[in-house]
Amino acid sequence: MTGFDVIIVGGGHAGTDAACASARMGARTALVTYKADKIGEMSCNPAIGGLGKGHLVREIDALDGVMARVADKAGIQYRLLNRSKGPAVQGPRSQADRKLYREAMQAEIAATDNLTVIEDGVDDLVIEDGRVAGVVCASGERILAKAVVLTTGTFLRGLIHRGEERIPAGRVGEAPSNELSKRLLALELPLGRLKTGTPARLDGRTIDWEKLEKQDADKDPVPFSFLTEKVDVPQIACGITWTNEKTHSVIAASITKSAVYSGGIEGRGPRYCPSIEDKVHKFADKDRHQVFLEPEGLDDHTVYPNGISSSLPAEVQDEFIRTIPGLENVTILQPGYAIEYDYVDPRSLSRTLEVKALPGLYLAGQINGTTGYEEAAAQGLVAGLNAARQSLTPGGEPVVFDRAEAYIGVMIDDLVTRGVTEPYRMFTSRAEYRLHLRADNADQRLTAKGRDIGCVSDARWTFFSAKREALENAIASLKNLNLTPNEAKELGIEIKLDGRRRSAFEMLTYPNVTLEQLSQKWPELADIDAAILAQVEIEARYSSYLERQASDIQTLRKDEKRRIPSDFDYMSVGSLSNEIREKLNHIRPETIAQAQRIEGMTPSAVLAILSHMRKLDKSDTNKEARPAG
Amino acid sequence: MDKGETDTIVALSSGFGRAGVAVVRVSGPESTAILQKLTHQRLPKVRQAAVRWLYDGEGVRLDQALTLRFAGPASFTGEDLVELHCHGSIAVIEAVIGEIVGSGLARPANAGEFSQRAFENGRIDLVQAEGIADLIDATGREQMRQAARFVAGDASETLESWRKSLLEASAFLAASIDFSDEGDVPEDAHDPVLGLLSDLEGEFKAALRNAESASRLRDGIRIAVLGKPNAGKSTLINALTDRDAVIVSDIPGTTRDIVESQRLLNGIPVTLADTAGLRETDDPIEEEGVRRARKWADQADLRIYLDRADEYTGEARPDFLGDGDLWVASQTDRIAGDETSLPHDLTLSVSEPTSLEGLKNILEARVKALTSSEDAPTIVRLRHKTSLTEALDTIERASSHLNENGDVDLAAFEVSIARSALDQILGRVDVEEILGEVFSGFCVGK
Repeated sequence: MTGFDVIIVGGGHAGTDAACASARMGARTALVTYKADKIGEMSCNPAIGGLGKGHLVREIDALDGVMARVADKAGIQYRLLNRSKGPAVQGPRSQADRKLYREAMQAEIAATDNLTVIEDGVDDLVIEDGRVAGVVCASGERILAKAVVLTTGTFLRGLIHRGEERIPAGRVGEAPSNELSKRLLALELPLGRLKTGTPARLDGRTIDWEKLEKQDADKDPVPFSFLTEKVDVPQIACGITWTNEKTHSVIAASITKSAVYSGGIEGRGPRYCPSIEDKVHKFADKDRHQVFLEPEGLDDHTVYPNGISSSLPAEVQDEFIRTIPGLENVTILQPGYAIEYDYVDPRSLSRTLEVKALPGLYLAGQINGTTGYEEAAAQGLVAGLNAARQSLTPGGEPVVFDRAEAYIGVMIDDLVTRGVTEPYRMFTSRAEYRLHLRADNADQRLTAKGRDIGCVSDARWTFFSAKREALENAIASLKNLNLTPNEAKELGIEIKLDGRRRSAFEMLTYPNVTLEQLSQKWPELADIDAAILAQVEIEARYSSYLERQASDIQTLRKDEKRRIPSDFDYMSVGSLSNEIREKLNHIRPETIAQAQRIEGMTPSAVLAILSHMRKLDKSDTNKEARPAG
Repeated sequence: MDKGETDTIVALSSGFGRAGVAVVRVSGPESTAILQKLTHQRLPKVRQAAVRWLYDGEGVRLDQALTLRFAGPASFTGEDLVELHCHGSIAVIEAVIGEIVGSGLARPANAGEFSQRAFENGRIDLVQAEGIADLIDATGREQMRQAARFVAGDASETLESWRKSLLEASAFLAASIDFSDEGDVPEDAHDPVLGLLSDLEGEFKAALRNAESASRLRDGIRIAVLGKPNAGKSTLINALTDRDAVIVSDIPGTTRDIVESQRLLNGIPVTLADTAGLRETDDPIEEEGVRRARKWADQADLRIYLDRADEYTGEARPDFLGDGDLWVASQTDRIAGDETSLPHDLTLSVSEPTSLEGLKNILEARVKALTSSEDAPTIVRLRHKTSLTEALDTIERASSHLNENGDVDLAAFEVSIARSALDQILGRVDVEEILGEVFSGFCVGK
């Protein structure tokens, strides 16, 4: 089979958004996966969004990616996290119905132009002239393309651990892709090993829900996609229960049987997602740990007990789970396990997620050392956009997001600049410009850029343009209305009596001023769409903070424009310490801004690079100016 | 070579001129090679003094020197470093440095470059580097003690502990923001954060108060001597400084510009300013002198206003004098016996040793009060004060965000700004901007 521009290997969250992004760009795209009916599978916790993660989902949506839209067709327990804490750190999250999600994703894929699904495994890459030129399938078939995106998740030399058991597998019941792993090893890409875990799955019909505290969904679900007007999926409640001393003593007694504690696992696990045996061992002073019982679907009796992931032997899991209130008579459908897998050190990638040593090969998702559906999808999107761009217009401008415009940019920069020491998860605290990178303004930050890139459909563009215009008009009107301090006082607002007139917009920048107060003075504010007005209120709230960071952002952007040539010779820069030189050689930062973020970088080393670049520039100009011969 | 690349630098590290010993310092990758080349002998052991003859390229003896060799990173600059303790002759110094530079292995160091390298290689932080500059510039015992505290890293330690507290506050806020949906993380970060911030607020305020006296000590105390023409200002200053620094005459208006003289009082350097006599005048030059006198007086730490006792006609204490300033009736020998009726803070007859001694004692007490602080200072420079004031403002704002509306996102932002303000004092971030300013205050070879 021939004739694709881009091949995406893998149909998980990275793969689906990569495939759709590439297809939206107009590239003829093939999605190769073992089983088409597993496309869009949630292999761990069936939930989308959260803090930092919800931000990523909104950004994917702003670039017309699929995750948000699909999640809105499957969300069964919407909760806006941090509702009381300021819009910048609010993260939309929802439990997802596993089946609805899968179905909606598969429907989305089927409805996408330029996209073909091929059911097969991928065992090898086709490499021609130092470039990736396609894949070799398990069936033996060669599929050629100008670029390949690998989104293999934990399939690379995946090894499940449960007690003493060791099962080579990608997910339970699915074979790992050892052939491809061997190929990556042969390419001498730097591989490392990570681990993650998943809890047992419970039969919800055997849980005593009456005993449990309930956590309800929000009354007014906040959807993920800017295009979703209203969430139609029925909403359910989750149960909350707690472990107790009995649970802990069962675990403590068997802790040496845990795969992690018996020393059977070499990979590093995430600190923020410890197994229950880790929690019991490391926080011995805590007498209980919270467990969320999350139904996996509306008509699915499987329940995901969030908080008790474990690699203890199945019988020990059985025993400790039954000590938990509400779970005394529970049936375990599938015991939990830890899984170890290979990842590629992301410092060997450029910011387009292309492997620096092998042009045409892109990596996205867990293979890069990240964890989470949202992190995977966001990388898939970037890899898909770049693979398509390079296939359609070789040498075209790479699609890159910077740290001041998107969490996507923060994540990819972190990965390719600093690498990972544990599975990488997004947190809002990772973003220096958190007050600007909000879930509510992801479209304002990214949709126009996405339109320029070529990944935003006409329908979204029309919708967004109308919203943007309404927002601009609303802000302009609020800036035109103004009042004196005395008039403000009449509204019950205390400001300095300095005689200076302030605009309605400026009034909203004060922490205690509300739209309701201002509406008393200006009833015409009621004519503005409530959602738009709410957005204006948020913009105003953060405007002064944005001004305070403006010069930082400017410096960042200036330094991001200083490109370091990809063949820059760090050996010829005299003053660098060996340690820094090695790091620079390994990471090969693309810009001065990126170089500055490398761990252990000193200002003088940056200066040395800059001055060497200037010297090279000069000698280049001289060469050009000199007549030939 | 371009700035920023590590080449080897050389400079005279002791004072220039005839002296018993002159120390030439060489730092950088070629230091050892230079020593080898100069001595024509095997290298002395690291950190062991060895006496060696130094030769020029032709094999002619230049000087016999005590040589010392340090291997990076265990040296002042963090690089390979060589010290040549030569005889303190101008000819020797010029020949030795000339030989080293002439070899092409090293270049003369820029101002402050040794300290800059020490900083860049992480041997000292910025506050310590500044302490070194202050220590070199110190003229009095108290200044020296203060600067030594900064060099020793006492101030850096305090700054680090503040930074740690802020990091802790940031961590609480981050946990309450990024892990609020997890049952095992406490939802409410307000109390621990507010506790940390209010402790810091107190410490920052105290440090800013202490900084006033610390920077007075660092810069020296400025005393303005004021009075009508011919009130005896110059005579008083000459008596206080034990020399004829100022031209004294009986003609009113002799001192038209400001004449500054220095002395130590209690180990603290003091600048005394002899100013133009304050009077209405048509002479534009004298008028300018009067204007400058007033300006200097405004900025001084202490003002002494002299009224000539025999010409005093009952004017009130000048209103520009503060509580700590001195209103003095001078030349009381001219009205022998009547001085008790004068309303001044003090009467003075310069020619009488006990009278002059009395004034000196008062001045010493005042100077001491002006330069003593409740605690050892953590910050001293304007640069530090600007950053710490910013840090104080931001943590106050952070507290009010938490107290009033519970805005953790805004509080977290302010705390991160406070942290980078402290980082700026220690020289951690945005260093390039301040580096130039800090290191241009150094002279070659420190």
